[in-house]
Amino acid sequence: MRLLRIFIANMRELLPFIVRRMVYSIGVLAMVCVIVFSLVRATGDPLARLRMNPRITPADIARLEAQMGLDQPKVVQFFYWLGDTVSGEGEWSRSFTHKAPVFPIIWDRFQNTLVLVTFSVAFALAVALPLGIYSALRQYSKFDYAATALSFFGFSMPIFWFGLILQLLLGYQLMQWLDLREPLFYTASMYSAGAEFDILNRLRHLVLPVLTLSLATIAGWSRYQRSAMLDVINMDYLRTARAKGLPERVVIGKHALKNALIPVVTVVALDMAALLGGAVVTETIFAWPGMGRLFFQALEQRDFPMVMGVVIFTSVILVVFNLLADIVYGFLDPRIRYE
Amino acid sequence: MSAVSGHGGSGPGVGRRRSPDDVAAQSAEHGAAYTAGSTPGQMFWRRFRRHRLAMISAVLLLLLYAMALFAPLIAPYDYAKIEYTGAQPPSADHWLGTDELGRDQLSRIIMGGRVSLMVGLVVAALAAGIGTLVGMIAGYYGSWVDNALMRLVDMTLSLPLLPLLMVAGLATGGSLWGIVVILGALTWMGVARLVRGSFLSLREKEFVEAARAMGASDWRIITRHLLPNAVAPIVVNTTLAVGTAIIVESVLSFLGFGIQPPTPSWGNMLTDAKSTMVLYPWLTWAPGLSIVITVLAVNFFGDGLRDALDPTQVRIEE
Repeated sequence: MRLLRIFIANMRELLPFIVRRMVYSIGVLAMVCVIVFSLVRATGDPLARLRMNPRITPADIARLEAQMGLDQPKVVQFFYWLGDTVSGEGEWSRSFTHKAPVFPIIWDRFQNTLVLVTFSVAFALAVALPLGIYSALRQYSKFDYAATALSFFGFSMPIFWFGLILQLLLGYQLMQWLDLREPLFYTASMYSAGAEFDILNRLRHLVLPVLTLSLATIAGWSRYQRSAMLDVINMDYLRTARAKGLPERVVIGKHALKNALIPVVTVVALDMAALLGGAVVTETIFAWPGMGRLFFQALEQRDFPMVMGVVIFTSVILVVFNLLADIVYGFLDPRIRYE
Repeated sequence: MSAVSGHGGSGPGVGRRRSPDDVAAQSAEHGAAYTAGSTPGQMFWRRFRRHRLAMISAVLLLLLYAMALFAPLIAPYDYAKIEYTGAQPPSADHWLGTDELGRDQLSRIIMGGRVSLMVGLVVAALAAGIGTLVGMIAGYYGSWVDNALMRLVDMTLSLPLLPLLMVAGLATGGSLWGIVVILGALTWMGVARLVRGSFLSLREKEFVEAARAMGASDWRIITRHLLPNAVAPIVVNTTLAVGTAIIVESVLSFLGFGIQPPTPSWGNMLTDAKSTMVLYPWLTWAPGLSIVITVLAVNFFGDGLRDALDPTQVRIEE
């Protein structure tokens, strides 16, 4: 109830802000549309792969060319594509390889990505927040230095290589050492054939991709949490809380943490959007049937309607999360003015 | 004006010592107090030396870039020479072993490093150039110019970077310069924000007003009075950007949309290694460790630079 009241009170300020941000978001999406269309057209003939396919007749190609507007000037083509993408119908929004509209397929794969990202974010939060808080409380201690060193490694590690090494060590080598017939942590796919409803099997498939995907976020978030905590730790209101005789557990765990978590929430929201769109590498290495792998395969097969569909879908997610992060930030911290 | 921005005139200025008169003149100009006999260069050097990891990293990076520069002379074998021995583990003849085609892995690492290190440096420099230009204009002119440019920065920051880079890599057909330009064009925003920030505050200072009163043109004020004072954060940010660029290039090349074989890069060497990882693990370890060590060195070096150039600067992490 209290939240609802604050929400309504905020609405007067919030609505114009949201409207402005929507206009801005449309600008971002327009930019993405122009860039991705130009890039795809710069690769040459979008139908090149189809022309090489002996089962597709010249009549089919001619029909596609007409329906996609490829005989028209490029600017006109752009609007053919835009119209098809927005309506979700027409040849520009049909995958060459799946022979079906792209957005239902993307939505289907997106759910698998969502599973992976949800577990990764949960794991990264569970590690990064305590790490950052403890580093801040023990600033310049051995623990703090160790955490700093680890985060430097996290920043400097290309995640695809980290994934490969995990496959090699925790996938293959561990299986050898333990003398198992199957790896303890699987290195590919979401579940073993026929084990679709086996929770344990699914979890064993999740471990390595989740570790890979959370490496960079743990490095980033723990640093962020550390500095956010350092910002509040010397505030007067904490001294007051201590002077009142509150136990240290309450002073840190309740009073300090409440304010130290605010900036982190924003970063987490933004990074989560980036993860949803950018799990390409992890999904490719671990053959995770998500949106990133779909994008990678579409690009390899020159399935341009699918490529563009995924880019647009990803951009929409990014824009929405950006907006949500801003709103939530102002909601949590009344000192922030929407402007 | 703090002593920190006072040393901006010589930039990072390790190699460039200035005459005492020069320094005195600058101290007077900026009202900063220098201890007798220590030039900005010396102050920088004293602070930088204290950061032991940064010193080690600086030496390591020098060695790596020397290796890249003289790669054909240093490589023990021809990196493209195919031997019918197949993949061999590391030995006295081939320190890092050979790949499936019998090519010497060490020579390929050295030649591949040439590509990765060059891409990292050029991309960072390009991004710094674009970012500085945009930031200068936005920060100096302010008002609607600033507003428009900063909205552009915001928008570019909310683009899905990796997918666009992959499509762009395909569009340029894996040409080295194409990738360099694309990477530079999509990563300049951090520097733009930094430069804009320092320009916004610097342009209100008295020495700028004095210069304007003496009839200096906008361009002269920007390049001679403002830019030297904003150079420290640019240098730090650009250094760190070298590491990011190396990683992004390796990701693109690994996925097959960056540098194309037969030209080796640390990224595309791992594409081949991936499928035979269990059989020939040395092919996976060497390129990956090369990337990690190089980027780690860049990051430590950048960290040391930050501490030495500008101890008061707030840390900016992307």
